This record gives sequence, C-alpha cells and structure tokens, in this order.
Amino acid sequence: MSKPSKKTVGSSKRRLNRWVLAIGFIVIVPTVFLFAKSFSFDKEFIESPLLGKPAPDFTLTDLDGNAISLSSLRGKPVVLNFWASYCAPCVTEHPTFTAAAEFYQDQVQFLGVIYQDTEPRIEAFNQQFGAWGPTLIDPGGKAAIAYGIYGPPETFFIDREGVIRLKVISAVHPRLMKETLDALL
Amino acid sequence: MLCSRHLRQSATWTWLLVIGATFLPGALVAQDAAPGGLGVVRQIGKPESPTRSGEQLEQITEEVSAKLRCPVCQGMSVADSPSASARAMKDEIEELLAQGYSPAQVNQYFESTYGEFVLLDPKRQGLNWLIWLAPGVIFFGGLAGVIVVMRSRAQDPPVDEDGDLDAYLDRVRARVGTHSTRE
Repeated sequence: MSKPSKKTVGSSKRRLNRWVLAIGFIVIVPTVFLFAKSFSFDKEFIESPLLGKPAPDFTLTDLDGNAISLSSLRGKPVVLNFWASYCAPCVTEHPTFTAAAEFYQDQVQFLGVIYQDTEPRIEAFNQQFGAWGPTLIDPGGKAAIAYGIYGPPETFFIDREGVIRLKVISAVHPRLMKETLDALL
Repeated sequence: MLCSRHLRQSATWTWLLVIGATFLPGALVAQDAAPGGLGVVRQIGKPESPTRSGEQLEQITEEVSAKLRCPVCQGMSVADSPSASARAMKDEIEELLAQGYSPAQVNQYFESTYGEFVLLDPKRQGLNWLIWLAPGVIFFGGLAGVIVVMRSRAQDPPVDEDGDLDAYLDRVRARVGTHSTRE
C-alpha cells in the first residue's frame, strides 16, 4: 500500500480549510448582518409611506374645545407636529416653531397634536414656553396611528393641496423649517 | 284617492328603504372617520368580513397584535408590549376587527402608515427572502460542512503533518549518538 505523499495530503487539507472558511464566511457574515439589522432600531431611517400622499384627514378639538379639521385648512401649507411635554427634542424645537409661527403668521397653519401625554402637563408646558399654535387632543392616539408616529417629535409638512411633502423625525432645524415652508408657499 | 295616497306612501317608503340600503353601509364605514364629526379618516376601505365580538374578537385581536411591531419597543410585538403606544394600537386593531375588517386589511392599514417595518413577519419578496431563507441555508450549510469534514477525516490516513519532524529527529538522534530506526 502506497503512502500518500505529504505534499498531496497537505494541499488537500488546505483546499478543505478554504472550503470550510468560505462556507463559514458565507454563513456567518449574513447572519451577523441580519442580527445587527434586526436589533438596531433607528426610526430616523424608516421612510414614511405617507410621503407624496394625501394627509389623513381628521377633526380634533384643541385645548380650548374648538374643533379643527385638517381638510378645512386646504389652500395653505400646514405644519403638523406630534409632540409631548416629556420629550426633550420637543423643547429643543419649540423656539423654531414659535419663530416660524410669528414669521409666517396666516400664510401657514401650525398645528400641534398631543402624543401620549396628559392635558394638564401640556397646559403647564404651554404656560411655561408659550403655545405656537392650536394644540389638538388625540383621543386613543388614532391620529398618531393614521400618521404612523414612532415617537415624538415628528413633523409633517403638508402642501396647499393637502399632500404630505416632508416628514421630519426629531427636532426640526430652523433652516429646514424656513426652506421647506418657502418652497411650499 | 285613498288608494293613490296609499301607493304614494308605499313608494316613498320603498325609496327610503332603497336609499337606506345603499348608503347605510357607507355611513357605517365612515362612522369613525366622518368628515365634520370628531375623529380620524382611516384610509382602509370597506370591511370585508362580518362584524366580530366576544371571544372570537379577543382571539383574533391577539393574533393580529402578535404580528405587528410595537413602534416604541425593541423587537416586541404590540401584543407583548405594555407601552401606551402599543395599547393604543391594540385598541385600534380590536376596533377595526370588530367592525369587520379582515386581518389582512388591518395589517395593510398599519403598513400604509408605519411602513413595512411595522410587520414582524417581513413580506416574502425581494431582499426579504434572505431573512426567510437564511436559517435554512445556515442549517444545511453547516450540516454539509460537518459532513464534508467528517468524510475527509475518515478517508485520510493518519500522516505526519510536520514535514520537518523527521529531519529534526535525525539531527537530535545524531547528537545523542544513535541511529534512526524509523523507515
């Protein structure tokens, strides 16, 4: 019985090792990628399916009891902001909204919708920082669901025809606010 | 005279019934979403199934909630999450199912507002196939790898992998004054 040459055995082992390595690579890399993808969660990278579509209509009451319907505001751009008193970026973006509401006045309608918060807290917030527009109550969070809200603040820029043109997650930058509204006007 | 009045009344009632039968279902669909009344217009269409209640509603609500992702959680379903957002979503799911919307319509509604991310079971299309097929590929790939390695080990005779060992041992033996007896 002839003994296999050491060179042949060594090279076949190396070939086998390469195969095992390749299979391991093909299996492990996608697995790690998929796990990393499924466990990482950044809502800022989730594109809203509502972009370019008509904004879901609603009729909600504000803190003073006035009913406001989105469809009744057709003809002027609307900035719809879902916010809460417990949300830090909402405090950050508050001056941006206040300044924009003062700057654009009747040209643009600014609407706030309370997201998972209580009226007394919202009223206290408005007393402390000032309200930049009507604050709407969303019973049962139905408006938040209709707009696919992941967490406050989320802001929708709706054009004159009632179509959603931009969704901003987290605090709105003052420059983005102005550039977007100038484009919508 | 009496007869003609009676006929007119019958015709009126018939027309009222026809109008009622035509527009009542639409009115029921729009009940939650009535423009002018308080509420939100859901872009979901008309219910495809009969209305549900009781244990059947509870069970189907759990099933649908278990397949939708809680938007404020890490990989938890609406059914499992205790968060306020998930509770609101579950209430909405229950309300829609009670009105007769099918589970597919409810999933479609949530997907149309939140995006596909809200579905815990990704759709079987495009790159999503990778997610569905990866476990099988990993399992069978690993199994094939193990079989290949075991077969190659069974076939290969035990060999001295270190080619330099004999030469080294000869040197050692030469140093200690003995001759190699190894073939």
